[in-house]
Amino acid sequence: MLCTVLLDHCRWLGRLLAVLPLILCGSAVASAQQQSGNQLKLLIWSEYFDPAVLADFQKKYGIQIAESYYETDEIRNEIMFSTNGGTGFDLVLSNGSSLSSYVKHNWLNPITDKDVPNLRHVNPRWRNAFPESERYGVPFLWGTLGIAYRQDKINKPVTSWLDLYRPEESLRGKIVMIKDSRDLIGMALKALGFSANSTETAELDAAKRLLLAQKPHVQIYSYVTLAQNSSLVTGETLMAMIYNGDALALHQHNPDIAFVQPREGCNLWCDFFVIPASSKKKELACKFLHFIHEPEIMARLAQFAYFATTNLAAEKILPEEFKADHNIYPTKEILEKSETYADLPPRGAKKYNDIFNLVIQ
Amino acid sequence: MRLQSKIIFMTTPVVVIFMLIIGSVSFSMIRETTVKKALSNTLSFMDNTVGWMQVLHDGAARDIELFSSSAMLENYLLSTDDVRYTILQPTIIRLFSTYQKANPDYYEIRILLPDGYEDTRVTLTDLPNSTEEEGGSDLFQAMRKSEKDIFSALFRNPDNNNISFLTSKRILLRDPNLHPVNSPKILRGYLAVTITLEMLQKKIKAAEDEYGTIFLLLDRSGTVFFHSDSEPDISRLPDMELHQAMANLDNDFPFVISEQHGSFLVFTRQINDALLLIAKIPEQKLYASSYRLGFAIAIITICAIVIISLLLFFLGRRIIINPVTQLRNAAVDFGHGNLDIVIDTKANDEIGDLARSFIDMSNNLRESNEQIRRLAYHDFLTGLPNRVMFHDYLARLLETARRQQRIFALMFIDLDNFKRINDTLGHNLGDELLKQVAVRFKENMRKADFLAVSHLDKDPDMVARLGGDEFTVLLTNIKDHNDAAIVARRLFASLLEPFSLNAHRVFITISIGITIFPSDAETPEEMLKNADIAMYHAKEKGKNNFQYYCESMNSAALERLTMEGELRRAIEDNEFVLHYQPQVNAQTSEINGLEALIRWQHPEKGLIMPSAFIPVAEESGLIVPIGSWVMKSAVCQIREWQQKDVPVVPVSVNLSSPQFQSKEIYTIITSILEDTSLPSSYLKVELTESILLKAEEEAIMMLHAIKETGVEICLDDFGMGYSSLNYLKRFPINVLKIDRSFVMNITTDSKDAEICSAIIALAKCLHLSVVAEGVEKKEQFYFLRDKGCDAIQGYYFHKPMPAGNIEKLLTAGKTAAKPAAASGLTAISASANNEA
Repeated sequence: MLCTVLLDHCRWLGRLLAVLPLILCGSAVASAQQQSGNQLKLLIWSEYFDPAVLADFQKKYGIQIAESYYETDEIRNEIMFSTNGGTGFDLVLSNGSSLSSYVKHNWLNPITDKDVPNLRHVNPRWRNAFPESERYGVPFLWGTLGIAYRQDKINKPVTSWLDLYRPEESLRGKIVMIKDSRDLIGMALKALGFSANSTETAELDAAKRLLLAQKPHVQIYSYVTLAQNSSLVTGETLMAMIYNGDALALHQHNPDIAFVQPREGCNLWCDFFVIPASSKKKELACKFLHFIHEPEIMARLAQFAYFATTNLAAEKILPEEFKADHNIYPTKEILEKSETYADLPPRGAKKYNDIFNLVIQ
Repeated sequence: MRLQSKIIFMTTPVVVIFMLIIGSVSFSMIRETTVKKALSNTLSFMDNTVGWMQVLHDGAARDIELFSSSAMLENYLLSTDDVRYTILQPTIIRLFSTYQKANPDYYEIRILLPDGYEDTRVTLTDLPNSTEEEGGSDLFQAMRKSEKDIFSALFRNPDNNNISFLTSKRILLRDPNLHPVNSPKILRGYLAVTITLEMLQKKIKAAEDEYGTIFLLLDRSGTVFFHSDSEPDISRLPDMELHQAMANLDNDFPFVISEQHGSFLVFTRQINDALLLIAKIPEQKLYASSYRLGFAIAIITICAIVIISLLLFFLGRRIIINPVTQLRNAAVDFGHGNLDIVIDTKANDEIGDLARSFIDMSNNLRESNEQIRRLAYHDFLTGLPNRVMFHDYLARLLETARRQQRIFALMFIDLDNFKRINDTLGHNLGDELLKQVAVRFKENMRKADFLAVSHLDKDPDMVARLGGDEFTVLLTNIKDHNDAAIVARRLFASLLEPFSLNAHRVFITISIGITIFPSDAETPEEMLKNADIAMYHAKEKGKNNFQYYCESMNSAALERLTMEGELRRAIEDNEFVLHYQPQVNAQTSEINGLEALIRWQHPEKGLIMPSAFIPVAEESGLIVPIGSWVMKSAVCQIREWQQKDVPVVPVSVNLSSPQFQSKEIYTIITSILEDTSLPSSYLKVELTESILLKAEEEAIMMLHAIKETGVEICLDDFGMGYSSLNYLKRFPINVLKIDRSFVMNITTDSKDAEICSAIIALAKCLHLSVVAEGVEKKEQFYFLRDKGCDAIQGYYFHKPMPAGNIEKLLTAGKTAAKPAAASGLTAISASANNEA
């Protein structure tokens, strides 16, 4: 198995790099492209992709993958926007809900089964999970959003989003929340029993109030690090909103760190690789996508990140305990209650922005 | 004090006028400065504020230009709704947040769409949004209608009800993907920045001055946005004021407007073409502050006047009044005779000169006074203190001694036989002698070792000359009586050396009488008198010695002094009378002589016997005139009787020692006999042995001369003194009178009887007559008659009796004289003679 314990398995680590995408994409990447025709420029979460796989790909095809990292979906959107659709990048890993916007701006190259034959292994459920995802995206990993907590420090069992959003007084200043408008507001809506995609003013107002009430308990609006010195490991943080795989990674550092998918359900997300319309290396990019969807490769990638794969063939060769872990593969119950993020109407999105801006201020 | 008043009256008006001028000038200057400063403060604050506002405005305009040029914003505004909010808005929000962090005054940054919809709104704090639809608001309409792309306005933000400053830019974009380059730009929205004016409010608050100046921020239409004096209510400025304000825009001189609350000085400044800043300074308060200032200056002026006046007062007192007062007091003292004045002469001004002149004057005067006093109180001849000074000093000393219970001694010194020196050497040398004696006395007083202490004393010893040859010495600080004796001995010793007087060498002695205070006397007069008495005593004791006074001296001396005075009076008033005691022939009992005996008919004490006053008369020298009187009176009486044909007998008159020594007695006898034409055989003179003892050759010659005239000489009291037979040989004696002390006992004492017999026998041998005195008894008479005594005198026959009685007796005596006792006649004829 390629499952390895990576000390610095943190896709947030490239934060600094991500702050400077405008510069990177504008000049450095462009010049790199000129220097080597055998290079693919990839925009992706940091520490998400198994570097060994990249090395194998280079060994096999002589193509080097140059990674650029983003911090949040919003930053990636900004990069996309400022580069007029990812000019300079050959591959971009995007969340599903952003795809339709990209497509409307004519920023993406369509990808067919012909381009990437291994798409046949991919679960159709994920291929068309989002508008335009089937035509323009290649699904990668999927996961949920839940609560990581120190079971040794919190006596009451954590089962609900309200345990996070309306925390006990003892958790004041001990909570880390994800700095993302959809995650922050969407799970607040879930906690209150509403849809994570609601644009109802009243429901959003209730979510806003919940968030503002929670604010004093929040240590920081960011994301917990996954390294050994993570605040969850040290106990500085007792509870955090977290992606399921990351919680499992942290569990390796401290067995007292538990993860729960709240009973209200959560967000189901899926990452898609897309190829910017401006890319001159669509063929090479497709070759890479085909390579990673080789079942063995994909199995390595899933185990590296502790996330579920969209590749059914790869799933088959994954270890049973991996597949049996409900934190990776949620139960049917949770899945039924969970939602993917929908593309919001303009003024609905504006509301989300306003609330988010207000909360994280 | 009058001079002081004058000085005050002279200086105070000068000070007051001077200070009032200074005060009023400084008041007007300070007032002008204050008002100017207040106005210029306000102006500079306004200019500062206008500048600040302009900077704010310009800064906001620049920033908004900058923000609007962002490609991100352009992309955003060109994007369609579907991507705008989901993808682009967070980025724009983050961009605006960055701007806000850079400039927190931009508390609200917004994107307004052309229809007024609030597309994006980023606030610094959780500022609730009143509405998203701004299309209907006045502000948006103004923004929309504005000719310029950049629009600025003051407005009240309904979100927080604060007056804020808004700057917006109209953003016109052409979508390069949809439209050709030369097609017109389309309005895509407005970028608006809302700026807080808190800073301005703070500035105005901080600029609040003591005059209560009001600042207003308004636009040209008169809408007031900010009013420093009240809550930020938007109100309108009255048209009148607005009109005036517009007329005086940016004027550096204020204009005045009157409201019901009073009038104001007003400045107007334009911030930009829309906004005005107005300052209103309440005139009343502005001047009130200068009135307060004027009040303070008035108080300071008054204080200064008071302080300067006091300073002048005290300086004047110190420099002029005090010295003058001192001089005046000194002059008063001067007038009272106190010449030891103390004046401060340190000042080197005219008053100092005056003081020094004054001191000089007092010194001169003191010297003159000293001289006068020396003349008045000192003996011109010897330089010693004179009688006056001595008396003063004695009186003072006595008082001091009495107070301090000290003793002191007074020595009364008289030169022995000075008169003779004066007579023999002349007055000039006598004076010279006195001078030298004084020098020796003074020298010896200084040497007085036991008086060493007294040099420290205030009362030094004193040697004074009372006059003539009388000196006194005061020993002021003796310890006991003997100290005076020590001094006296030293004085004696000092005279052992002879004095040189014009080639004469003269020895002199002194007699000293000493009295001690307080044992001997209590008053100065007594002291001197008693010393005098003691001195007399020393004289009596043979001179050249000293005597302490004692009580007994005093009574005798007193009696003698009294008597001496009375005797002088008696001589003048002729109070003396002569009694006569007859002498009888021992054989026949006939009266054959009379002895003239003097009696003093005292007006108060009656008849006084000679034994009571003759010694005094002899000592005082009065015996000479008295003796002359007796001689004269006796001779005249006999002559008178003779002329009346009364059968007269010789009369014998006693001569005293002084009479005998004054060689005039011969002249007196001869002149009296000549005057009266009485035969000298009727006069006899009686001398005592003691007179003869002292007699010198000259006196013997005189006795011979007297005897030559026929006056017989009787030796009185024979047998009592030396009874030298040599006398009988040397002196021309005619009669011996046997002393009564022999006669008294001849009947009882055989020795006396033998002596009497011997005397009578001796006299017979020498052919002298013998008279017995003091015969009182028959047995005595018989014894003497039997022995051959020639005459008998005594009570047995006759007592002494007045001239009248004698005259009768003589007249009758022609017949027979019988013994008084035997015949039983009156006392007149009694023969007993008791006289001394």
